[in-house]
Amino acid sequence: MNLLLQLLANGIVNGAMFALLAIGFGLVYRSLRVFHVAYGACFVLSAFVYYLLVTCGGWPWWLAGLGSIATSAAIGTLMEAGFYWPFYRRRISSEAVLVASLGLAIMLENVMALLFGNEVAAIPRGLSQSVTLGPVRLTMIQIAQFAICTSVASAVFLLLRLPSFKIVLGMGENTELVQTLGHSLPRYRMLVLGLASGIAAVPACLVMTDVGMDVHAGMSYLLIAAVAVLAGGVARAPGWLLGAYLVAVLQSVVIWKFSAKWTGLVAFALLLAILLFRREGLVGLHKRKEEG
Amino acid sequence: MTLQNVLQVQSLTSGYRNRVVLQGISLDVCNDNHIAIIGANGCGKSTLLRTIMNLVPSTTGEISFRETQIERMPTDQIVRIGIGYLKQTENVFRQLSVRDNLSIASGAKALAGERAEFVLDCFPVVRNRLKVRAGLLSGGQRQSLALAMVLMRPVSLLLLDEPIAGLSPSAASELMHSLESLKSRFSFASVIVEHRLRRIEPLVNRLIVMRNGEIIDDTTDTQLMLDASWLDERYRHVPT
Repeated sequence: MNLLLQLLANGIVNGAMFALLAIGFGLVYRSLRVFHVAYGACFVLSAFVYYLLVTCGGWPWWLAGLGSIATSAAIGTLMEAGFYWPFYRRRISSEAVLVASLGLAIMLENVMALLFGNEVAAIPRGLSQSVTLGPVRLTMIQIAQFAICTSVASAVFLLLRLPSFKIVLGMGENTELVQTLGHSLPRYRMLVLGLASGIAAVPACLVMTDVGMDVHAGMSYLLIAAVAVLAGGVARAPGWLLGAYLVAVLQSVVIWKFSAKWTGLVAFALLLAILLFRREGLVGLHKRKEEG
Repeated sequence: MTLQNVLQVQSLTSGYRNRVVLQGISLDVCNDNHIAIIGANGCGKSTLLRTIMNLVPSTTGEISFRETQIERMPTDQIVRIGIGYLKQTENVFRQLSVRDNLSIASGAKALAGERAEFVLDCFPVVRNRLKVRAGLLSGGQRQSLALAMVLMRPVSLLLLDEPIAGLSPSAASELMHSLESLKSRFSFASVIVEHRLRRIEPLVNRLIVMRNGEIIDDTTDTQLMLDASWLDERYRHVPT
């Protein structure tokens, strides 16, 4: 039982990080209707920017983190301006954009492999201090992961309540209406990509600090984010959090009952179950018939 | 009121891919004009409005709004310089609440201020449902919300694409009544594309008839809208 509690605590910490990843992915998917495969590559890239700033630049962790967030946000904005926007303007189908995004992700991954190699990169550090709460022991890094990710997620949710950010939520539903109400679509699209990429940098830096990362990790994190959003329900942002925590806790249960090597299956199994039995997601919107 | 041209359209052609819809339209709209554009389905009425808003790109011709060329201007900028446009369908964010819809429309300001207050006063069905998701509103309530959203920003010219299509007679007359109040309060010119001519006749002072992408009649005798034989000469199957 103690092991289960420990694993659940680990799951909740992971859930906080997955939640932040899911928010970034969900923002892009809901508002731009783009299945942003390159999001995973962006996540890894920001982790390696952090790694470089800390190990080569000698920057303190917090400054390196801010540098990584800024770089990632800039890369996201550039991706929109130079990659997704031209596709949107030419009315390219979303399936073609998905394939193009996959191509971009592969290209970025290969460039990073050339630059950083295929080995796991980790920031050298000593043993982390830990805190014991009854049967559960959490390292200081885990506590920092949970606290930082939860704070950033709360800040993003507060941001989304601002009237100017409601446009971001409306965009996915009706881009033409956004324009006919006097709002610049390209500007808001860039804002979304920049914000999402900046958000992804936060868990990326924290994972890099804790266990390190290799350049090929992007796809697995992307899948977790995508499953969390689809399982929680694309239409409602709180669902993305629920989906993320569900994936993380289920992974812990699988480790407890079976083995850590089956954790990868959790995301797929959850996605299949949701798609089969509750297509709109756990907290999806119930639509009137005429809403289609 | 000093009369001045707010919109000038000269030799405008536009269409979709290989299909030319507007065939050299020229039109002046003054600030006291309330124009009804009528014509058979597919004659280019909605396309004209969409081309003015640059939602459909023009092929040739010029459009100027208060002496500013707008035919290549992005739609959002056209709105910000004072042209409001009510889309025929999909004119609210169905997944968002009524309040969120209005916030977006008002340009990210709170729903306060004289203008917002007046607009909401004109649409009590909207004011009383601020927390309701827009997708759950009835057709009439949704059109009221859509019109309120367009008018949250100051406009000099309002383009309405079939605003009462599909509405019940009571919902249609309620909407037209609200529009009348808003016109008197904010004094903007308007261009309305509509098939239900009896409903809009009291609101307009100029009538334009289109056929095959061209203007075939432009008159201030709006009573002709109610003259079945006159309409029959210009196009057939006009629902009144």
